[in-house]
Amino acid sequence: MTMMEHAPRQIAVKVSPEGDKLITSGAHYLHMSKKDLVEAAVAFYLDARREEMQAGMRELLSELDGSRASRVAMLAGMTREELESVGGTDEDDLQ
Amino acid sequence: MTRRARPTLRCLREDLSLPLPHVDTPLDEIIHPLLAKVAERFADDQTPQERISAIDDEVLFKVKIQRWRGAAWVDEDIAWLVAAGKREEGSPEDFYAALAARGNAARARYNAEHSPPLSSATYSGHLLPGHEDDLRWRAEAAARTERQLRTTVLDLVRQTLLDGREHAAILDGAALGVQVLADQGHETYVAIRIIGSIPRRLVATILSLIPGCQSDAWMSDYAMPERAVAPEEQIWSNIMDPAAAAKLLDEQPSSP
Repeated sequence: MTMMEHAPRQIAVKVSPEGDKLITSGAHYLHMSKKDLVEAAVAFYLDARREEMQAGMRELLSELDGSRASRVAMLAGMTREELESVGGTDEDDLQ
Repeated sequence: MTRRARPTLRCLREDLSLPLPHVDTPLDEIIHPLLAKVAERFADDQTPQERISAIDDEVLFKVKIQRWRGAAWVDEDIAWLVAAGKREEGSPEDFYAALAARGNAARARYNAEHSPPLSSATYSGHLLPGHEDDLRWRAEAAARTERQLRTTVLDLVRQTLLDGREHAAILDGAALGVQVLADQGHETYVAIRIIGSIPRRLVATILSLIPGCQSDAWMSDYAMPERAVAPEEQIWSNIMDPAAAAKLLDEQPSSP
């Protein structure tokens, strides 16, 4: 008796003719299947963009020093000096 | 339409001689007879107003109460007190005549420095709300947002610390979910889920309010263990200091 093994379900992804040409030549160049190239490329791109997003957020977070003034200035999109020049915050207002 | 009454910062400091309060106190809540009069007179568009006729480059209105005299400039939402003074007992000098004289002098200075010259008899642009008034307005709004955010975020963290489940709230049309898992390999893991289009500065402020997390250790995730991230959903995770978590639970929840 022959056992039929079910292949994992595959999903088609639509790309432009230019994109398909790039994937095809890239797969030939790297000696890998188009499917493997697309999956690896997407994971690589997402990781790169994630690192970019995290770096951007770290930069914003570095402007926050735990004080209320730093948070209010951040939310208002102004510098601490600008906030101070128009009255500053009540740091005791923490409860 | 109900308009709020606010002084410009210049008018508050120089004309009313009042100290500038923290941005937690909106300037439309300052108690002063002239500001109360402005609020009353400009509450709706049907109240007849008396224009200061000697000022011809801007439409300024007279506001009088007791010995106080003021000039109001009205925009869509706010009636601004842009100049104020006191009528001195026995003094022949009229506040509005003096204001016009200053307007004439300001026009002369303006025309000496600008081209083309103004054809009006007065220049009052320097009295109107400007950059620092805009900063103050934005700072007051940010102070209100910060207070609301702080209360909401800390309440959500407290709730999830107690049951380990995700707790969520709606903030300005965006959904904010917080989940703390206290026993992940002897570490306390915190995940923040935000659904909706919100500015990155708001996201940074939310993350900074989570207690016991290193600010440079926030990780962004593009997938959850059991599902993909939804459109307009962002997930941030970090490790929380258990001591900070315990301290938060000991504190009383703040009132908004």
